[in-house]
Amino acid sequence: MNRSFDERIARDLHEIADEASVSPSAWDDLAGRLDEPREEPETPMIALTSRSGDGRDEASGPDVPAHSATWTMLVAAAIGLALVGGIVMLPRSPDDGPVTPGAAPTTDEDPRTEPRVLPPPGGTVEPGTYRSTLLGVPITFTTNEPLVLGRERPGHFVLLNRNVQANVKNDRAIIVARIGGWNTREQATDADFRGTGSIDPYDVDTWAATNDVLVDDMAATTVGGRPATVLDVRVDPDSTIRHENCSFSSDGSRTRSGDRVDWNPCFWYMSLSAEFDPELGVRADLRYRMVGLSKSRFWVIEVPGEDPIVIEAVAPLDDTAFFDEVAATVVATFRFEATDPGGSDAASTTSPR
Amino acid sequence: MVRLAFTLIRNSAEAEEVVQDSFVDVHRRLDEIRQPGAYLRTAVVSHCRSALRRRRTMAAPRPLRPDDLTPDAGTLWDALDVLSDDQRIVVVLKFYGGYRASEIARLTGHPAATVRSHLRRGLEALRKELDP
Repeated sequence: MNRSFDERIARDLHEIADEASVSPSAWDDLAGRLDEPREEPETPMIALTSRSGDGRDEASGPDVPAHSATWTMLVAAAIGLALVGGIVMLPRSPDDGPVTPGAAPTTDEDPRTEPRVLPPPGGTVEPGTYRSTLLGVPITFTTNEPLVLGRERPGHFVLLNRNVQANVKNDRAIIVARIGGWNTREQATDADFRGTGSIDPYDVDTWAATNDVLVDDMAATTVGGRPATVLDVRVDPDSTIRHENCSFSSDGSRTRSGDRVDWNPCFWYMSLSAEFDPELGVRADLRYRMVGLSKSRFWVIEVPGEDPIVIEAVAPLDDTAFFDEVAATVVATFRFEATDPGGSDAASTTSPR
Repeated sequence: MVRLAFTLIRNSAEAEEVVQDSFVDVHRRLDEIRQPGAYLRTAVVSHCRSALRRRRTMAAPRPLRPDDLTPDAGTLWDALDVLSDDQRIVVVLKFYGGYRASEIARLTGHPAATVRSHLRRGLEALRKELDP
């Protein structure tokens, strides 16, 4: 390739771009969409809450109030500027060398089979292999069934086994997270609790022994070539922790989840560990909620010297088949990209004893 | 943003929809993302990729070439059809957006080396079409 060819491509692409047109109603359509009250899907089993450093909610689950009209107006203004102004350029980083189109590639990835990037929240995760850096270490995994990306933040993402658009009850999910600690029973039931859980994230035994949970099975295994512990957990039905415990938002206000009697018992069981994305700058203490009508299978995967990665499959109490599906797909194909480039150390799909 | 989306998927209505969807994504997360602009660009690219995938899955017809393109641009319009979705995205981001490989890697979620591979193969394919 030569400069004149590159310049020709650039010139003709700009001419093609000039053919773009925006409908006269674009502004109104967009403003209308932004003004629409957001429909929050029911996410009883995986509902999250969080606290940011400045006290603002950052979750988008059912506990979170809608964005203010001020933000809506600001975004609408930004939209107008962008639509009129066209493309916004990224600042170039000084340590980034120029791309030489003719340079030999350093990999031989087949673009038809290489891992994809996860879609934005609400997007469909089609069957295939995906790559994520949200966990602080690059990982890949494969799903054979279409899923929906329920949410994603530095430190975790949630895959829902349902069709959001169809408003189907959300009763199966896969949570992939770096956790900083399991919550003590006191932390798990304290609406004012801040920070990460104080039980070591690798110390599952202590967490299980001191919280209102029943561990049905536990076994050693490997995931992505790393040592791991797999365990099936459910909330102790005799627990005295009631659903009202989960009926607060991160600012302490009551939410509609206070009406969910079927969540009994309900408590917060773990906290995310750290900030992995300096660009997004999300802080650490997202908390996960565990409710009585579901069951979870955890794979706690060792990351040497760091907090573990936890894959959690959540399903109705009597649906262990979903656990096996997750074990055979997402877990079995889970790879640590940096340390397992060849993927030779496939994950064990050992089920709990 | 609409121009970028249009260059990627070459349909004005879809491009407008993609950008709207992306802004809605940003709006929903305004209080949690530090760099809305960066997130918006990533969302636009992601939505474009999804649109291209849907189009391929549905065996939709090729985008209709505008009548008023110059011959060279018209030839490129047709030549873009020979590229894979990922090759087309990388080529457009590089030569229309002016992004470097590392920036494209962040936008697409691919390793920079993969981006360079897509770029090299995409340009090779374009050269065969444009300078046979």
